[in-house]
Amino acid sequence: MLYEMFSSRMFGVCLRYAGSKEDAQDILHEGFLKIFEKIEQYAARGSFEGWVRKIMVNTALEKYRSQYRMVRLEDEGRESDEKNHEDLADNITVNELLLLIKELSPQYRVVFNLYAIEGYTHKEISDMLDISEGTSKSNLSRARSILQERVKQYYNQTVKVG
Amino acid sequence: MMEDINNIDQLFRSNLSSYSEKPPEELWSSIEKDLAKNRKRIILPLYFKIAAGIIVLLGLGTITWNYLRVKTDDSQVAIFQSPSIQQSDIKPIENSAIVSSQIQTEDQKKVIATQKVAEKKNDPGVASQKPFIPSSEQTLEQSITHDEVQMTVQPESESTIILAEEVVETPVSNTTAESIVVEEKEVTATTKNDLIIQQNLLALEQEKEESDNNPSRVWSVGGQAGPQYSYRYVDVKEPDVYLNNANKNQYENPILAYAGGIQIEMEPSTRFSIQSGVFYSKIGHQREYPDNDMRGEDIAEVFDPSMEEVNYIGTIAPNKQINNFYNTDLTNIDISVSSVERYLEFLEIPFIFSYKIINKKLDMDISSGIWADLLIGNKAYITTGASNTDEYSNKNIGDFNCSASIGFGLYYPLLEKLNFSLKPVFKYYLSPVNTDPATNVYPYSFGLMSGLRYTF
Repeated sequence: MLYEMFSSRMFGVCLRYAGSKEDAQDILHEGFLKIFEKIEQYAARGSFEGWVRKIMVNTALEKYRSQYRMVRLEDEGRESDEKNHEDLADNITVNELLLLIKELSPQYRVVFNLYAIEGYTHKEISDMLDISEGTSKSNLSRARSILQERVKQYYNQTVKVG
Repeated sequence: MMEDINNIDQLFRSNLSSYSEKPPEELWSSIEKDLAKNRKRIILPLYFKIAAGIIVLLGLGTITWNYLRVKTDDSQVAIFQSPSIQQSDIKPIENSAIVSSQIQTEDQKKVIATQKVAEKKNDPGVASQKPFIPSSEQTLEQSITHDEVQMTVQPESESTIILAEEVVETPVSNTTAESIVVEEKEVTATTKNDLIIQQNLLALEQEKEESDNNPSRVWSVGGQAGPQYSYRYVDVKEPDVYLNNANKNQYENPILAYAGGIQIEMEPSTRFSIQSGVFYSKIGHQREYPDNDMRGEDIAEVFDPSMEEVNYIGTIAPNKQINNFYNTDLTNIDISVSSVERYLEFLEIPFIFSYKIINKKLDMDISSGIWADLLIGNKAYITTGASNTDEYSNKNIGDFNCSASIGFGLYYPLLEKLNFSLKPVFKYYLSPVNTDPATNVYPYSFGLMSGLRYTF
């Protein structure tokens, strides 16, 4: 069954984009509704999982846009929206990385996801988010420098602890 | 440094790109519920489309039926087919006196003319000389003014014809009575059938006179101008789930521009007309960037001539070199792009059909047409900071287009042949204005044109 096959992987995608677990569930819910509605449009071009993933990321972008509109981006918010204390099953490094991503402000987070993880070009990102290519580039470079800083801090801490 | 950057991307990508986590159990049941709801909702829009289609067909049918009915009325000739003559069917002639006749004697075929009194002469002698002496050979003048005559012929008997109207009693035998002046010509009406024939001939003559005075083809020339509120519809050609219409339509706003031109009009019949002419039209849309705080380095990057801002209606390319804003002290510079306005200007030639739905002092018509559009202007204005505006142009815009319009026209007469016109019109481009393979952009506009129309 489609949901059983893809829900976990897609939930992973949603968690990367969402500011909170509730948002991630909303994105997953909406995303699967779209997938079922558009299933006839899938024209067997490329992999099916790729198509499913595209719809999920698009749904995540819609969520981002609706939230972004309501709350103006003040500046580079470095505080995370929600501290994730839940004990996740998999390795800590991955959870930590997820946390770091969540700490990014929404625009940096979405651009970093689209460029570094999904692999879109700045031109494609500028189209999807309706920003200029220059903004996409500058957002990416800021996201990178913030993440670099945080990863360094994490490793320093673990080194100290360990 | 670059290595570090690549590593960051690599670090996150390798760990998170296939990250999986099981969602909560109850999520699936709520998805299932919504799926069932959505299936029901899809059926409704189909009913709406069918209903809309029926309404459009009824509307077209009504207009066509009205046109055919009016046409029949306009060309109707008074034909009397029964003894009961409806005088109101006779077309009017001006400057005529009323003639009606009343038979006072039943035994004879008598036609007595009574008239609108033009002159009263207190001449007893005249009365006897007036041709109102009933006789079967009596000649009558019949010129009938429509407004004043409401005559019905009701045969009292086979031998009598009564045309009743304002009867001015004329006691013929009374020599002291006022006499009535007959002003008009005389028409022979010896029998009922003759009367009918005569009336028919008169009506036909009147109709011919009228058509001579009013040639069937009327020409008009006019000018009009006014504001138009324009926006665009974006249609994504490639079925890519990202480039969806909601995304495209979310950030841009309509813009107020203008249009105007001269127009020639020809009316082959009372209700229909064909129009053409030459028009100028300016359309566009606008985008604000309230959230993008771009610092100096970003400005330099974005407005570097080698880079172009991409948008749905085409790429903005700089017309001129931009000075590099790059400054070592960037933190104090807060330059923001506040808005981008895009304009396209067209020279247009229309071919419009109009149908007059009200034909009185204030005329009203409904019109629909096709336009051929030639691109003559192409500008984009980027405003940075508080008020610094630079001019650019939009790339990838086609030179030729085709659009369609539908609207109303209200015409109020100012002078005998001069009308004031007010025309709300909706215009929609049938072909996309941009040449981008991924998206089609169809501008549309709502305009209010006012102007003058001279008929000759």
